Amino acid sequence: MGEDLKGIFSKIIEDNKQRIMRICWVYSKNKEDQKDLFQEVAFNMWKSLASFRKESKLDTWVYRVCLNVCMQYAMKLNKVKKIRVDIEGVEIFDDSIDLHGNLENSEKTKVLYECISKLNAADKSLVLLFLEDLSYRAISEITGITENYVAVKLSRIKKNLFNCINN
Amino acid sequence: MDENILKQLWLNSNQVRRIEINSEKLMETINQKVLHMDKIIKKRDGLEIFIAICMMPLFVWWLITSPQLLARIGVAIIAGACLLVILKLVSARRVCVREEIASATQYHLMVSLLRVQKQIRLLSTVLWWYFLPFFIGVVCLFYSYSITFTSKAVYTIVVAALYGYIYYLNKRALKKHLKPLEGNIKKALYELLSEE
Repeated sequence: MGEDLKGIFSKIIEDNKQRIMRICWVYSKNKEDQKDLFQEVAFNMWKSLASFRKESKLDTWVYRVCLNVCMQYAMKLNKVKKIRVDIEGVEIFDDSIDLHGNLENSEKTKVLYECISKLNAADKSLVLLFLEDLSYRAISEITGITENYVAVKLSRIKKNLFNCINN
Repeated sequence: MDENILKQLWLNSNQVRRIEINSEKLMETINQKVLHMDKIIKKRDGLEIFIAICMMPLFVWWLITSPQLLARIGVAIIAGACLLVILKLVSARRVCVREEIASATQYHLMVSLLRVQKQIRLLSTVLWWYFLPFFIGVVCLFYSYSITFTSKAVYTIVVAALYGYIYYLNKRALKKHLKPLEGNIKKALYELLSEE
C-alpha cells in the first residue's frame, strides 16, 4: 500500500489511452457510449490495480481488462438497459475523437471500423488484438485460447474482413 | 490492401489529446458503488428478516401441535435458525467507529468498510449458522412424515444439492463482490489518509 497507486494508475491510463479508446470505440454505439466505456475500463483498472502482480506484462493486463469490460458492456447493451452507477473521475476532452460522427480519418478507416463492427464480440476481440500488432502468443495469453486456435480463427476472420473491406 | 496497411490504418485511427483523471471524483465513484452495494445488502437482509419473522409463528404453532417428536425437533431447529438469522443480520448492520474521523467521506468509508468486513465474516461462516441448522431442521421434518427409505434418501440428496449450490453462490459473491469491494474501500481510505 506504500506505492502511489494514483500515480501508477494515471501513468497506465496516460500510456494506454489511445489503444483503450480504439477498442472501446468498436464495442460502443456512439460517442457517449465510447466515453462511458472508457470510464468503465479505467474504473476496472483502478479496482484491479492492487491485485496486478506483474506476473503478466502490463500491456497484456491492460488489454485483458479492457476486453473483458468491453465484452461485458456489449452484452449489457444488447439486453434491456440496466441501472448502473455512472462513473466519473475520468474525463475525455477532445471532440476530434468523435469517430462516429465527424470522421477525420480516411474512408478506408471508416470502412475498416464498419467491417469490424459487423463481427461478433469474440471475433472482434481477436481481430482487435491482431490489429494492435500483438503476436499470436500475446493474443493467446490475453484471450486464454491456444496459439494454434488463434491462428486458425484469425485467418478465417481476416479473410472475412478483407472480403468486407473490398466489397 | 495487405495486413500491414490494415494495422497502420487501425493504429492511426484516433487521436486523443487529453484525458484528465480526477481522483476526487474517482473516490466519489467508489463511494457511490459502496452505497449501491450497501443498498443491495440492506434490501436482501430486510427480505430475509421479514421472511424469518413471518415463518416463526408458523413453526412455533407446528411445534406445539405436532404429535411426532422428530417433527418437533426439526421445527424447533428451524425456528431457532430463523431467530439466529434475524440476530445475525441485525448485528451485522451495527458498526461502531471509534477512530478520530477527519471528514464525512472518511467516516462514511470507515463505516462501509466495517460493514463490508462484517458481511464477509457473515458469509464466510454461513454454513454453520444458516445452512446447517435449516438443513438438519427440514430433513428431520421430512423424515418424521416420510415412510420409505428411498424418498428420504432422494429428499436428503436434493436438499443437500440445493443448499450446496446456494452455498457456492454465496462463496462466489464473497470472492467476486465483497472482497474486491473491501479492497477498494481500503484503497480509497488509504488515498484519503495519505492526502492529509
